[in-house]
Amino acid sequence: MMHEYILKRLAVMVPVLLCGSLITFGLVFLSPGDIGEMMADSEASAMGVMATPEMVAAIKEHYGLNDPIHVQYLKWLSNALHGDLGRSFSTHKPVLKEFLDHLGPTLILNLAGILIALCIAIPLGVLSAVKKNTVIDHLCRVYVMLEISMPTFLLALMLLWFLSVKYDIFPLYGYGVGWKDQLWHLALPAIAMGTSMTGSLMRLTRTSMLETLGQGYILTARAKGLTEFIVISKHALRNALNPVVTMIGLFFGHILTGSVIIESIFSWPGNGNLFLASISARDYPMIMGFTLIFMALFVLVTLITDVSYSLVDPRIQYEKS
Amino acid sequence: MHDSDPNTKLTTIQHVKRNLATILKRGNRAVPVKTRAEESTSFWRQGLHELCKDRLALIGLAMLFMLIMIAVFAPYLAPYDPDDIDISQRLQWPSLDHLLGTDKFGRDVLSRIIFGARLSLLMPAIIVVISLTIGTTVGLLSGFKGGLVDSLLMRVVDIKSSFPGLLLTLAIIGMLGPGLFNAVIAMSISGWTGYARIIRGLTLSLKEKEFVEAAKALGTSDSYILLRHILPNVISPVVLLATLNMAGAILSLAGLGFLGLGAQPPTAEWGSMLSDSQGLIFSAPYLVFIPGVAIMITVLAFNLLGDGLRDAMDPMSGGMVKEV
Repeated sequence: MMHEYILKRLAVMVPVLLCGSLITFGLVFLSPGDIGEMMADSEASAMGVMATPEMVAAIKEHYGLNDPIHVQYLKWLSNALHGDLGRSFSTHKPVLKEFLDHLGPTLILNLAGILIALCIAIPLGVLSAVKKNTVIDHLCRVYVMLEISMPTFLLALMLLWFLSVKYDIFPLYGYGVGWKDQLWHLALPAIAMGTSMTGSLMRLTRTSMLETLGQGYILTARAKGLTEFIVISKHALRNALNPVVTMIGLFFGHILTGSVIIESIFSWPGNGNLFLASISARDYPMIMGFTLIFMALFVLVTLITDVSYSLVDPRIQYEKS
Repeated sequence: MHDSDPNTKLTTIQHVKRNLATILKRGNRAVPVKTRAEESTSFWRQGLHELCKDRLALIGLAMLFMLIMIAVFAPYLAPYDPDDIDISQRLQWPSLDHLLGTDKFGRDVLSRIIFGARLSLLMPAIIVVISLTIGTTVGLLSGFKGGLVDSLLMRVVDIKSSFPGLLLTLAIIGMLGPGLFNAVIAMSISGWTGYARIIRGLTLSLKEKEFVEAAKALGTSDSYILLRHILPNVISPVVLLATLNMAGAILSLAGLGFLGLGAQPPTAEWGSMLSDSQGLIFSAPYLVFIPGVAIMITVLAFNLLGDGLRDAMDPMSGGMVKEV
């Protein structure tokens, strides 16, 4: 059953991603400016000369920019499927290589961020639900309200100002050299990123937990004389985690877009920062390549999240429909 | 933010979606008896009645009212011209002359914050209205026409929803180039699918109702039925959803402004003011925090109001929509 479900979902991914590639490609044609001239300028600046009209014509001919749109699209798509997403206008390196080079820092930052968010949000969310309508619960909810209203950049800049500028505990920005130094540099961005996720995660955990605590089997567990800790941790929490898994999946799906702001504030050498730089420089091959890669990753992560439900909750079966 | 029932704290969107069906049922039952005008006034009147019992929501509403007043009467409230450069007064900490200090060009920060309220409130509202218009049109057509039109439009919605909205926004800005206008376009294009889905669902169930059948039997044209019979019945809950989405739109637009992809300096917009002063965090941290706090207060106002509205419309908490 499970295999069939996964295969079916993978099959659906194909048309979705094809449309995604069409959107990405179409955006370039809607954009102002002549892409041939931009490519010529980029190549010329790499050689340290000015682009001539002859060069523009030669580049257009070489890259097939004079071909009909559908031919260009199919060529681009076929190249993309072979792992060739073109070269960056600004660094002249292959887009895929740029992406892979910057993937590590982004992944580390996001994983650390999500881990911190989980460590704060789940215990507090559970506590808030268990102690419903007490002072603890009210404090937690005030925190949630303030956190979800606070822009990520404000939170990050406040942390930066307080912990780096005022008290000089953490480094201001950068990636560091050697694993100890890197961990030191990672701390502040990861805390900022993790904290920015806690609000929505806490709220979700609390809701889900409250719902679960009202179920019959919790009453049964208590009636059996189990300790409150066992009831909460084994009986309630496990069942309450389902929506939380969805949200974590969503966080992973937004890895690029979610970390753009944090990466730019802390000059973190990740994909988010690179994507932002490409947008500011209107580096089309990079924008197209990154958009395509992240669309694919997002769709894949959504699938993994859906499948992982049955791991968290074995009652969920994927049946033929 | 009070919830008497464990089910009331789902995410806002889930909530509204869950409640729309109930709202609609109530609407349909009442349609043959009441006129549509009465229906829609009572929807909002009852909502307002429930809202008045919620102190936090009222605080949110009051904050919002203040912010709108500040934006409207900006020229009368601002002590200085927001674009008035005075290098001799640059980077002054808050004082009696300049209540919130001055920026790197000696411009009065309070005046810029007051004028910034205009763009920072108006632009997200425009984004929400455009998304709502596209979503409503697609949803109405899809639900009412059915068949091939429905399948095609819904596939478009499905595919668009398969990708994160912010990625598409960034990609569109990347192609069009940074700027407030382009950011507004990009965000409007990225955010309409939610509305389309809900409107389609509501339209689907409405078009089988007697009053639509009756209108058809009378030979009324499709466009007249859509605009005069179906639209008034589906619009109230979706306008509510749009209000709830304002907080998100403000945050995203400020985020784009902060990244330098939205409003460009010297425009007085909170996100770009913050981004403009980011390098001055050592010498003048107030320049970073004041616009940030302004954004936060606005978003907080919408969130408080949104929570109240959601509770007021919630069938489970005994609000205006009750299961009968």
